[in-house]
Amino acid sequence: MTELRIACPTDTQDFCVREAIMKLLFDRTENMHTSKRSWPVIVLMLVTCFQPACHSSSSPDEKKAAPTDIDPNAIVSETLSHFNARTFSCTVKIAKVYGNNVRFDDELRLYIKLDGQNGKVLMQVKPGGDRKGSAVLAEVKDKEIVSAYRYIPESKRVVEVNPRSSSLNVVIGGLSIQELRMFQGASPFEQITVSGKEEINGQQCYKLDATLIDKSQYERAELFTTVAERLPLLMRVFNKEGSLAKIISIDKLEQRATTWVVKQLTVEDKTFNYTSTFTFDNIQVDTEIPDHIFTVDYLKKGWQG
Amino acid sequence: MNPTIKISALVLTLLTALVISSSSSSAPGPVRQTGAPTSGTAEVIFGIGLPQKSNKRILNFDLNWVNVTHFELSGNPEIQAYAKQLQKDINSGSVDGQVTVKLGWKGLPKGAYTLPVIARLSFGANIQRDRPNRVGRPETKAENSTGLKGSIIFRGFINGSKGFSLEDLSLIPGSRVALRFQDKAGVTTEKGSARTASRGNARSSFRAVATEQAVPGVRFGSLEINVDAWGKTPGSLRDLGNIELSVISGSMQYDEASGTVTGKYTFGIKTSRGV
Repeated sequence: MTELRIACPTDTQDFCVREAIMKLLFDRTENMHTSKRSWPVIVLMLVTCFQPACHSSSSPDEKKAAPTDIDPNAIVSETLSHFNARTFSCTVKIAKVYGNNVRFDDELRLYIKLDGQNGKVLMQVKPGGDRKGSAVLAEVKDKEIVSAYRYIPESKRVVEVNPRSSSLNVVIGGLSIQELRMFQGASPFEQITVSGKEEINGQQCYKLDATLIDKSQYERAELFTTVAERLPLLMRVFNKEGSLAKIISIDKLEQRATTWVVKQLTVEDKTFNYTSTFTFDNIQVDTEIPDHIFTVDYLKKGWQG
Repeated sequence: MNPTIKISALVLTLLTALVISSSSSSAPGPVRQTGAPTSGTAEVIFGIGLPQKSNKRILNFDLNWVNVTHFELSGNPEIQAYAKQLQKDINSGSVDGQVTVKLGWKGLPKGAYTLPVIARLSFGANIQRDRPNRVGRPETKAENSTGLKGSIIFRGFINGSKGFSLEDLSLIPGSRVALRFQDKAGVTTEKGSARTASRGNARSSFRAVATEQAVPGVRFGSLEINVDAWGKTPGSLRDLGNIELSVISGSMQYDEASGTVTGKYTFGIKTSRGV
């Protein structure tokens, strides 16, 4: 029996399935003159077609079936292109709550300047309580952190951080620098496949399976992006052992002219048992950020408000 | 019950009690051995804050919190209850602690990246007892403390395939440390200074040798972390003897925003005594 394989846009998948079956029936009917042995096949097809499972709209398996002709790289590209920005600055408030209810509230300023796959990131942490704040400057080239410096206000020194080693276990609130840059349009993914569709928060989403370029921290990720607008809603990150390590939920997005910005996201770290809620304010996209901001001298100034 | 049998049973019980009492009183030392050694596993998540004071020799970090998410000891119900109680005590906040990183100069190699560091991570209700930089000793005596006391030893080798990445200390701002290397004999790989460094550390019974972070790419090293934990435990379960902890798995994460280090380790536990 001929195997039914149909390539069609997912939005019109139901229609395509029906059309393909009818085409198959038509072809079989045409061949009927040459071979009467096709009749049992037609009967079987008709019986199958009137069963509820034949309709993709009523079958969860069909719903989750991977669209075979969709370019996953194009989906990721479209998804992240919403956040494409040459420069990005904002204030971030992070509420980090551990499983045992220990809570940390922090505020930081973030400056990002991108030039293709290269870029610079400056983060300043607001002093508060016993903390005198801190600041980090990192340079990224070809999607990898090539240099990083940390300002230590306790000793008023700037120390160079080994970028390869520090990326191993360093996060900001719960997000790695690569993940933060993702929301400015830089892809952290290596190989991507579309594994199906799932409904997230009432919205139909593509489920994309991706391996990460930087595997020092995590191995692979699942990205859920809406079918309609290609907006990211959820990312699940897995460690080398295959266990779920982190869930990043995009709670609130806002459109700014041609770009979108993340207003709120939540990171749930399964390994270290905490949840961080990020709230982004004072967001400025594609405004000029002077070069001297991304220097060690500026880093030494610490929190500038 | 027949009165004769009843009295005989009473005498037998008394005799048995006397025999037990006699044998236990003749046992050497203040602690009697009451059972077979036990073993188990514990999963611990802990958070470390920033150093309170930072100078060239001592760095003290707050141990913000400890959360034992799993603690299981094999053995009789009593020892299992002990494990459960200890987990509860630690998680209820009765445990406090500090992480002390001690930088030593004496007898140690010189140079840009030869500043040795002794690292010790302690959990305990009365943690000052073990702080190496403390002048004098607190009033609390060891026999009044109950709970866990053990050592966790991490080992890595610069060129060895068995080595693992351990840069946890270098993640802590202010410490500026990365780890150096020791072989099984405790000899560092630094030429001409290995034995000196080894002697210096042996006196403090630590194996850890770390250096100031001036060598990019330093990835492997050895580190010993001592873990002491005390909880309110029943008197009969006060002493489990020497408790040996070994790391089954674990990792640390440094958060630039909150300035905290979170560690998650799963330990294997072996005791020299049981209950």
